[in-house]
Amino acid sequence: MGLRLNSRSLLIVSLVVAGLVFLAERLLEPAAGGALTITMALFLGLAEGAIVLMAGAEISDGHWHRQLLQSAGALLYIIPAAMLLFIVNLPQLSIYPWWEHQGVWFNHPFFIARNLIVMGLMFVVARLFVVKALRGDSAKNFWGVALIFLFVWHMTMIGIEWFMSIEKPWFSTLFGAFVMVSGFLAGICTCALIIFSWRSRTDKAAKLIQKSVGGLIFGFATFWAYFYFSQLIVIWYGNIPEETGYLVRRVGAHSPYHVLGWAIFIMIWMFPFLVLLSRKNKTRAWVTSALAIIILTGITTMFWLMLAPVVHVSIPLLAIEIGLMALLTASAVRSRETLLPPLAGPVPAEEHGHGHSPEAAGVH
Amino acid sequence: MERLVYQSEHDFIHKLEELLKSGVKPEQIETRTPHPVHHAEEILKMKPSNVRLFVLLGGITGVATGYLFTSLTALDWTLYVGNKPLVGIPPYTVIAFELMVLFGGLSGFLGLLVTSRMPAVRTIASNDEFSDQFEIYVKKD
Repeated sequence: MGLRLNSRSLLIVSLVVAGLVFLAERLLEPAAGGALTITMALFLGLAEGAIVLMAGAEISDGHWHRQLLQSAGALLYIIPAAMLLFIVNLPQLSIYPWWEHQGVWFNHPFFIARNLIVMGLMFVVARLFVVKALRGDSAKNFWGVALIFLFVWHMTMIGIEWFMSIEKPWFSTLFGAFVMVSGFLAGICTCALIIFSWRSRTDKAAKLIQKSVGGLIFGFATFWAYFYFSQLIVIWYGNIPEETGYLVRRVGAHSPYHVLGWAIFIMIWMFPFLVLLSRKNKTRAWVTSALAIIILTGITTMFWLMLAPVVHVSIPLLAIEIGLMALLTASAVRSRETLLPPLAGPVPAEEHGHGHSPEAAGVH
Repeated sequence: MERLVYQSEHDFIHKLEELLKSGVKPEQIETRTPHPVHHAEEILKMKPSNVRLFVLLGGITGVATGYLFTSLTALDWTLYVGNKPLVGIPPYTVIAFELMVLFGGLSGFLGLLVTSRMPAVRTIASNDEFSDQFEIYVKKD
């Protein structure tokens, strides 16, 4: 069955990953760069997004997600690893223009403290929710709601502080929400990758999860496109020099990244949208998994595009860091049974409300 | 035509499966139910409705109309504003999207009328009473 890690050994592995990242940063990005910021944002987004998806399903009394709960829940162990990486990333924070000219909100101790505190809080609340949901405890809904609020707060903070502030004083009130939606979509894609290992299963519970995740990717990729377009249209229409500069440097017709701006839009929305229009494609594990990888690549490229016009981002370093974190994520998911309690209660094998099968159609 | 009447969905589904196992073709079967029974559609292997084709065509027409109508009127009555291009794709996308929804919705409704052969008073005001029963009609060869 392979190696199973407990929480202590996973922490040791996280420390090793942080050490390797530190060495790689020293070797490949001696000057301040943004590779680790992108890696942290991606993995925090996908881990928190997947757990928040579970929280949303629990609160709304959903049943489709129950078998996925333990695997998605194990992703919470990415958060302590991200905290370690945040500490490793401290020397790179000089990439921000406010690092030299500190203010009330953007000053060194406050920035570092609030980021570590919110990540710590996120870990505690996520663990409380996951454990209570797995045990069927009635307090799960309270912690689920708390987790959703905290997720919105945290991802908005990442969007504004880690990415938007690179172009301070440029600002957009939509930016935080845009990064938050990207993180949530990354979480859904991670769920699609987790259930790829269930592709040989033919039971109804596995089929129901596959169909639900396919539909969620379709819906939230479109929701992401709505935010992308909303951000573009208001700045395009207003045409105010203070606002347009940010977009001109990234997706403007004369920008060197112009094609990349379109590629991101195609990778995250247009291509998945066209493929998932077909109902059958939503139920094919290899289709949703391939799309999940394309979308996650698109989100990584989008984070890269947010920083690249201003700071240097080493692509080999980014690839190494993403690879190390992907291994850690896979280890956490594989070790779910030693990290978290087992799922209590029955797992429904049929969608509620339709009564499709002869058994379900009868009187229970 | 043989008429079978059931009070419960379970018995209705069970009979449908039994009929198909006994060699009756799905084309020979017609059903009436008080609410949609998706599982019956699956058992009878019913083809998806053609209404979706109407929606697709309506949507494509809406998008084309949205972009063409705005672009052609802008080109016909040139009015430069704020140093923007005369034909600006981002704002026209909003019009194209709205017309896609409008045309798609309306043509979907039209498709519903056409495919269900409505309004057909004879079909609506049927003499057969089936209220909350599940009925199966089996056509004989």
